[in-house]
Amino acid sequence: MQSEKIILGFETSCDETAIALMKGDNLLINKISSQVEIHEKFGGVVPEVASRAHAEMIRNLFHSSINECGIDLSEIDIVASTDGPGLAGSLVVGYNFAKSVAWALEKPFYAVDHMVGHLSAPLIEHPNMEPPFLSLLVSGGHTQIVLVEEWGKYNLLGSTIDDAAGEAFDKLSRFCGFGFPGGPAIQKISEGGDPKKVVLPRPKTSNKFDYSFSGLKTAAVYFLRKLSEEDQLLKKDFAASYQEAIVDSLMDIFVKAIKETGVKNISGGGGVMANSRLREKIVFFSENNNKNLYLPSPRLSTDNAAMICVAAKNELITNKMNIDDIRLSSIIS
Amino acid sequence: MYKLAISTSGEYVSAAIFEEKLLASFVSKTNKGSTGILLNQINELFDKTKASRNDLNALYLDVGPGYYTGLRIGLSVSQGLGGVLGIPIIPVNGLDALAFAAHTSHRKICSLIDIKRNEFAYCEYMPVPGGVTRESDPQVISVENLEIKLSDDADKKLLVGNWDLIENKKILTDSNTKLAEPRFVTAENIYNVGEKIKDYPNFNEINLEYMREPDVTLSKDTLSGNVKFYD
Ligand SMILES: [Zn+2]
Repeated sequence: MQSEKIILGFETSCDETAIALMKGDNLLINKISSQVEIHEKFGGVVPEVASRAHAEMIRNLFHSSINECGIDLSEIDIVASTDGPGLAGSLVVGYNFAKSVAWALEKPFYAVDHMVGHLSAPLIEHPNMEPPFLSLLVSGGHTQIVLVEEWGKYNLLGSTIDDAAGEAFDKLSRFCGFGFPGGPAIQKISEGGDPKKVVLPRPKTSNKFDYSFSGLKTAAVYFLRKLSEEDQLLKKDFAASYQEAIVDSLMDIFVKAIKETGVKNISGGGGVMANSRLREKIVFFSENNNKNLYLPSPRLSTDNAAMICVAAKNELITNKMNIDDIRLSSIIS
Repeated sequence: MYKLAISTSGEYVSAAIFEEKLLASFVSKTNKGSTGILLNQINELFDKTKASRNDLNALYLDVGPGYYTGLRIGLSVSQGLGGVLGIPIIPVNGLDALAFAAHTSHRKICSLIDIKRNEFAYCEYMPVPGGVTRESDPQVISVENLEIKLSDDADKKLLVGNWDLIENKKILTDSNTKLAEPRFVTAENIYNVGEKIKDYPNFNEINLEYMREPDVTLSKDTLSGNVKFYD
């Protein structure tokens, strides 16, 4: 596949309706229509509400994306979309919209795994990133350590046995009335707070690379319930302490995996990777341990369609696929 | 010029292509994960009729009521096609389509669509020359209330749609009630009504007939506390 092909990508696996267009290495447009305001009042993503919103938003987002980057529809060479994992009712909207756009344009359609999208996201800003590398994927839906031995060869070393890291933020934030989504809300409140003020556990699991966050959430809730007026606990100190516990847990196990696998290149992705404290710590670690860090910027860490474009492009190149081959095999499954 | 009609609101996915009259159609029963079926059907219709995508000039869409995921598949596919081909999408209510298909009857027509959770979408119509008129607004009705409604109604009536899902067969076989086809909405039913609609909304104003507010109970444990912080 020639490098200047135009890829149109869709991503609707959770609560972001996202469309991107990429020409070669250049991101022509990367649009995300967030449903945060819609889900805010429920304190979490409500699947049926999310699917309804995707179905209403995608058409306008598609037209405005095409108009804004000033290309003609006929210039699109390939259409890609997330086909999972994610919320089933949300996925069908982007997937079917994307596939019918491909069909109407008589262009090939390529399905991309959402997690491969996150793994590939750093390529947008670091096209030189190469396997093997170890990636920490953290969001409201997933918490995984993945060893990418080579493109297409993904080894899941560990994941959460209960809540995802993002859920740990969301659930506590809901309990405290801090807002939704929990990660950004807690990060904001924790500014200037003392992360050592409240001692919270860093849970361990039986598999050394697995995570567990439900015990942390329970410990925090237990602590808050025992709190009396006289304790004079500042919101920012508690938020900073809770954030620190999550970030420490994430880093402890990730660092263990880095050391044990001996990889030189490290990376990350997912909504929680937009957390500034986590980024600070991962940057600090890589600088002090002589590792190459390929972190997508916060906007490309959270769910987006640019990662779907770059993952599609990367898979086509690594599998030496010609778009005419895909046309035969996967325009209609 | 060709016209395409689609229906994905229930257990059956169907697509049909027209050029003044019906050229070809497909109806398939789906189980869960029907997501690939519709585009496959459309693709086959175009192969079969040798129609070109660019010769398509209108889409007729079953906008429900019905199963939510199915409806969204239909909407997403029509908007993907309509958006690229620059053609209008004409939304058709499935209850209307069922009643219209039975309009040659002389009885009152009761149109019934399963919307899961033991509820139906329901609407009554009277046949008029060349069509039907709505006698009521479409409503959501539980199986129990529907059974009461039908058995209290002494009018001679025709039941179309998902009546096979009513377990109390006594109601269905009383002397005032006749069970009739169609039992589910097809793309052809949709086209037959849609063709008469001259005033349709812009592509971005097409809404699905959900008929119920979304279920907002969060599945996971919903914590909520009353925390007293010092600030
Ligand atoms: Zn994600």
